[in-house]
Amino acid sequence: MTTTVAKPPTPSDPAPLGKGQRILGWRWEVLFALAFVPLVIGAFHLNQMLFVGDWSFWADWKDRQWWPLLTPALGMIIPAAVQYIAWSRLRVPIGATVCAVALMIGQWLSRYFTFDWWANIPINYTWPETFLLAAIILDVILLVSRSYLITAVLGGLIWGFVFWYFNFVMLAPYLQAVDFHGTLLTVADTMGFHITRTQTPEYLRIIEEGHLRALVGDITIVVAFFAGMLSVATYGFGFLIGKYLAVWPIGKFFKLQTN
Amino acid sequence: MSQLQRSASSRPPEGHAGWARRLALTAVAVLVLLIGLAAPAGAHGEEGQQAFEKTATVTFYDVKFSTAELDIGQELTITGTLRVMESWPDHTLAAPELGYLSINQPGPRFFVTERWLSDTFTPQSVKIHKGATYPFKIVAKARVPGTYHIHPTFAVHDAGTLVGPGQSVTIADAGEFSVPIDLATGETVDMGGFGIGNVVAWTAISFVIAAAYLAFWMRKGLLWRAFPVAEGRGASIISKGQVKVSVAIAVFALLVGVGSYAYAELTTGPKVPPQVARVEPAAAEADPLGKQLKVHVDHAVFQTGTGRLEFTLTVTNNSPRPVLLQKLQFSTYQAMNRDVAAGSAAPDPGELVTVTPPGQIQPGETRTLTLDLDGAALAEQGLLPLNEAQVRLTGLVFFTDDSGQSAISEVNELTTGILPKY
Repeated sequence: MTTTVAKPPTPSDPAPLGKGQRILGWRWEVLFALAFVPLVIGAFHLNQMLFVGDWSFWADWKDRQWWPLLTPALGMIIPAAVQYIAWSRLRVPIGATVCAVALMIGQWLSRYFTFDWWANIPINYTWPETFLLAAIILDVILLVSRSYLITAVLGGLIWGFVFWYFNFVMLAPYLQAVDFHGTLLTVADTMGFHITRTQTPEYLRIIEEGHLRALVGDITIVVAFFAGMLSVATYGFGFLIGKYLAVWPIGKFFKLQTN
Repeated sequence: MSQLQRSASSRPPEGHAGWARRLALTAVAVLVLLIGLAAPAGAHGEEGQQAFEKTATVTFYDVKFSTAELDIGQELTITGTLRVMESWPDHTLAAPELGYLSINQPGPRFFVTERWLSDTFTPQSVKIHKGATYPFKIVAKARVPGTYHIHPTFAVHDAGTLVGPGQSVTIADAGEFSVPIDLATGETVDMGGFGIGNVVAWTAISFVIAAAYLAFWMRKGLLWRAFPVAEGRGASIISKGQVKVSVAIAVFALLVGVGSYAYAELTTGPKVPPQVARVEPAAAEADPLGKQLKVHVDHAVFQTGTGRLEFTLTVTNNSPRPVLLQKLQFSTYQAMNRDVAAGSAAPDPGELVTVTPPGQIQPGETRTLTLDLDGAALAEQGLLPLNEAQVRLTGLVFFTDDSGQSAISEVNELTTGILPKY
């Protein structure tokens, strides 16, 4: 069975065919969205839970070293893969933004229903960070540059660098100083004192550990730059996953044939 | 013939495929039924730990719960003493250096409001060492109505969480819950819901921008784009107008992100990084009576036929007062001297140990005691390590003198290999 493709209009206002001439109806778009979006939610959410779970789950794990370093760097893999899929197959610069929205949906569903409703761990202790704004920037860099390499380098650097600063507005109230029985703590530390997590004693926290203190007084900006550099590398890793574990195997079996 | 009819006629005969399908469905049904038979696991998961871990690491004793019923917002106080055993199993666990006092509960049904070890307030983990004894106090505020089995716990780095004796506590559905936090600026805030409005607002703002960007690109559909891209005309389906709008949205996103950072710096009070506030509480002084008692375990035998466990202890009383063996404790298992229990007013003394010969050990006397207790009860609680690499038992021996002073010190820590008699 062959499919006739009508030549689309000139680039001044590229648009699909009119209603009577649509190749694939809106039902296919909906079916595609219903299939693809949960897949992305599952993949990205699982990626974050496995790689940076505790830093994402708990307010008192959101420190200046590991949270802003690992979360964006390891959270670059799935957006890079989906960006490749979306751009190489559909030439649409929305891959990273779709991932960020999908992750937001998955994380909030999980934190609200699993942590708060089921386990009674208050959601103001388990709120998740967001990549929404950084994802838009990453997508637009690909759109403008039309180059995966430039997107990896420039986009990756920006993605990793802005993570701390774009999420700081949500974290800042939790870093306020508290005089807790004569000890200086943050609000988040105090919440960690009150809210017991069975089999998760305080000494398991991986925060503010390491040797990134030699160069400057403000550790945050050093970590932000390092996160950017690491994100460049993980973008490449995600790109390869998108190319060789998604597009290539699917392309071998599902080819769109036209006249 | 239609495609459907063609595929139907080419299907294999019902025989094998139908039999296999029925078998698979039956297996799935049986599995589902078996799951339905599983009883809920509400407590006592600590019985799954190995015997040496429960008996030779941290022992809790004199544990008391202030109440078994309370309303939301009221406080439960758990007091007692915990001992980091001198006979720590360092053949397999790293030496104890860092610990954390807490309670075991099915999620934060209580919020802990105070943690004390040896009269020192402990905001986070504590530095500890072998042979140290720490009186402890935990205060917890009731939060979610229901009945829960609560244990005091002490987690040790590289060893795991060790559990003390537990009790069921019922929180009635009455009262109000709040936990105030005093900021360094002097302002007091309620921990419940703190900060979540801010988080939701900024997430929503970011989401609206992202949704607008996605809507812009998806409003005319996505799948049709696959065709020109497959034909190599991908560049033709993106216009300059679309690029300009996208760049504008990205710049706006950048400005919102940067602006949010500036807003946070301007509107929140003094901030510090997450703190590591570990203290080293002082270990309790050794019991004066305990220093004057010398206790040595000669041997211990487990009779596999009768399930009896027999110890032979040699006790030398160098104190000026006569002493009496009061009880033995292995992890949370306690066995009281049968003679002491007989004279006690308590209705149910629990497990008993027969001490032969009975009676007090006089000042200056050295006496060899034979202790006989129910080893099967120990085995039931997973405290008899007969199937482990170290078949030995570690616990505490409690003596009292006639003034009521008790001795529970390092000298009286009981550790011995056990010889099974088959």
